[in-house]
Amino acid sequence: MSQQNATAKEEPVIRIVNLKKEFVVGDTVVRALKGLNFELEKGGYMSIMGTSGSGKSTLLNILGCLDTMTSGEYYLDGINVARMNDNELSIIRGRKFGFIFQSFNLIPQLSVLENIEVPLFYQDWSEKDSRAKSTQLAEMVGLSHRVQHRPSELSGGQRQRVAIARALSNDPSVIFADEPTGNLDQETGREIMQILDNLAKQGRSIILVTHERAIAEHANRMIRLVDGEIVSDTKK
Amino acid sequence: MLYIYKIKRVGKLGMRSLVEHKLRSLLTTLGIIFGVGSVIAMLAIGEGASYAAREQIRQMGSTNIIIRSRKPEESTSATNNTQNLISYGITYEDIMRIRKLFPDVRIHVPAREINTQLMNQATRIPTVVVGTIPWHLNNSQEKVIYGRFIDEYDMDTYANSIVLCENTAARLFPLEFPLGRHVYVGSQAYLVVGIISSGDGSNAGTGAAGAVEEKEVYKAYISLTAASKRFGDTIVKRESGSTSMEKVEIHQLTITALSDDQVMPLAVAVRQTLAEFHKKMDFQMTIPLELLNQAEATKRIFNIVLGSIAAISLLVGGIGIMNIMLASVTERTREIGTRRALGATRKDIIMQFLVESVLLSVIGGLIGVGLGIGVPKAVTLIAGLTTIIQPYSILMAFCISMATGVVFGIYPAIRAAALSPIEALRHE
Repeated sequence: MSQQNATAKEEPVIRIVNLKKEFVVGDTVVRALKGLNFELEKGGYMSIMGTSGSGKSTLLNILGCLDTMTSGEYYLDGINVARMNDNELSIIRGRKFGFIFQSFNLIPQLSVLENIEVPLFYQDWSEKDSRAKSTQLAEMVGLSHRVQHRPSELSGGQRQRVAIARALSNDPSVIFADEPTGNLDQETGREIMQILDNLAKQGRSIILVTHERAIAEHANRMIRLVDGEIVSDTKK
Repeated sequence: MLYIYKIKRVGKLGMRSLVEHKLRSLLTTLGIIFGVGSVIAMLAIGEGASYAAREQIRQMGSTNIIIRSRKPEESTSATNNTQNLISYGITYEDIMRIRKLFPDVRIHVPAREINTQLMNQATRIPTVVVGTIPWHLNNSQEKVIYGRFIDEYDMDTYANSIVLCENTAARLFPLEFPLGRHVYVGSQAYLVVGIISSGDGSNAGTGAAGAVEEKEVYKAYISLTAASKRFGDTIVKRESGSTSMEKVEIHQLTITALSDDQVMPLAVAVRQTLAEFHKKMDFQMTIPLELLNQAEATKRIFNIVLGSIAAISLLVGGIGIMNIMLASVTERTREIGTRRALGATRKDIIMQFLVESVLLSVIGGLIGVGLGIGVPKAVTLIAGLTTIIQPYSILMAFCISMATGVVFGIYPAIRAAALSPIEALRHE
C-alpha cells in the first residue's frame, strides 16, 4: 500500500499527498483545495484554522471520508482510501473515525445511551456489549445521571458531551471535531475543550477544525488555510 | 442471522418513532386498514351469498336436468280463436325416446295423484290413485308382493291395469285373492295386476298425500298414460268469456345423469332429441349444474371486481405510506447524515426506512384484518346474512399489505440512502 514509506518509522495516522478538490459551478471550476500535503502522527492533536471559504470544511469532509477528492492520495493508517467507493468509505468512517459536530447532531428520538451506541450498531456490536460501553462512556463524560434522557432534555454542553462519548464509542483512530464549541457559551466551551485536551493527553489523535484562534491554540499543531492552501503550519 | 438481529433492532427503533407520531401513523395506515378490511369483509359477504345460492342450486341436484312443459309463444294469440284445445309439452313418448337413447340415466316423473274412490261390488273406499311410470319402484321402498307392477305395455296401450297397495287390497278384497279381479273407478273397470307392500305407508312419491298421515291412506297405481286418458290432462281456462283448454301430458320430468361431468353433454343430447319432436320448443330445460357454473362465474367476476377495489385501495394506502415516508426522510435528513457519518452504509439506511414503512403497512394490515373479521360478524349478527371468512383472504390481504409497505417504502428509502452525507449533515 505504501511502498514508498516502508521505513522503520511508524506510519502516520493520516498522510495526504497533493490533495486537490475542485467543484464545477456552472462554467467555472472552483479549486477549493490546491494540492495539500501533511501528515498527522499517531496521538497528534492538530487544528485546522481558516475563515469561511478557506476550504477547511471541504478538507474536513475529505479527511472524514464524507467526501471524495478530485486528485491526490490519502493514506489512513497506511491504507489508501482515495479511491474507495461509498460503501467502503462508510465502513472506514464507522471503524476509524469519531465525529464531533458544531450542532451536536444527536438523534432526537434516542436516549443518551442509545445515541452513544449508534456507531456500535453499525459495527454489529451486541446490545449487551453496546450498553456496557455506552454506560462507561456516559460516566466518563459525567452524564451517568442522565443516561435515559432525550437530547432535547439536555443543555448544550451536555449534548456535546454525549457527542464526545459517541465519538469515542468505536475507539477511533482519529477524532474530528468541527467547531465543537461553536454553539456553546464560553464557559461550556471551555469545559468541552478541556475534555478534548484530556483525550489528546491520553493519546487520541484529534483534528480540530475552527475559525477561532483561541480554540485552535489548544492543539499542539496549527495549520492555517487560506484559499485552499496551507499558509502556515506551526508546532508548539 | 446477523441481518435478522439487525432488522429486529431497527424494527424496535422504527416502532418507537411510529408510536411517537401516533396520529400521523394511524392516518397514514387508514388506506391500508380500509383496503385490507374491505377486501376480507367483502370476500366474506360475497362468499356467504354465493354459498347460499350454490346450496339452493345443489338442493335441486347437481346431476339433474329438469325439463318443464311450456306453453309455446305463438299459440297464445294467433291460433287462440280457431283452436280451442292447445296441446303442448312433453309426452310419454318423449320419455321413452330418452330412455331408449340413454339407458343409463334415471328419469323421474312426478306421479300424478287423483283422489277418487275404488269400488269392488258394494265395497267403496276412498283411494289415492297414482298415475305413474313403470320404473316408479326404483326409488321407492315399496315392493311387489304378488303379480307385477305397471309395465311399459300398460303405458303404451293405456291399459286399465291397476296395482293395489297391500292395505287397499285387504279392504277391497277381504275374502278373495285380488289378482285377476276387477275394481271400478267410477264406471271404468281396472284389472288388478299386482299387489305391492305399502312401504313405510307415508311414502307418497311427490309428498302431496304425505300430509295425511293420521288416518290410513289407501293407494293404488295405474299407468301414467292411462291416468291421462281416463282422468284427462286438460286444463280449462276461462278468460273474459272465451274458454281455452290446454292439454299437457307431462308437466315436469327430471333426468339424473350418472355424474356431474355427464350432465352437460346429456343435456345437449336430450335437448336435440326433444327439439326434433317439439319444433315449437314447448319445453324448457333447467340445469342446476349450469346454474351452479353460472353462479361460480358470477362469483369470479365478483372476485375480480373486489380485487380491483382492493388493488385501488391498497394503491391509495401505499401512496399514503410513500407520502409520509418521503416526508419522514426530509424531516430526518440530518439524522440520515449523522448515521452515515457514524458508519451507516446506504444499505443500512435503506433497511431502516424500509423496516419503518413495512411496519406501518403491517400494522395497518393487522388492524384491517381485525376490521375485515369484525364487519362480516356484525353483518351476520345484524342482517342475518351468511358470511364466510376465507382464511386465504386474510393471509392474502396481510401479505399484500406487507408487499405494499415494501413497494411504496422502497422509493423513499432509496431517496434517503442516496443523500450525500455532507448535504444531509448540512440540512437545516
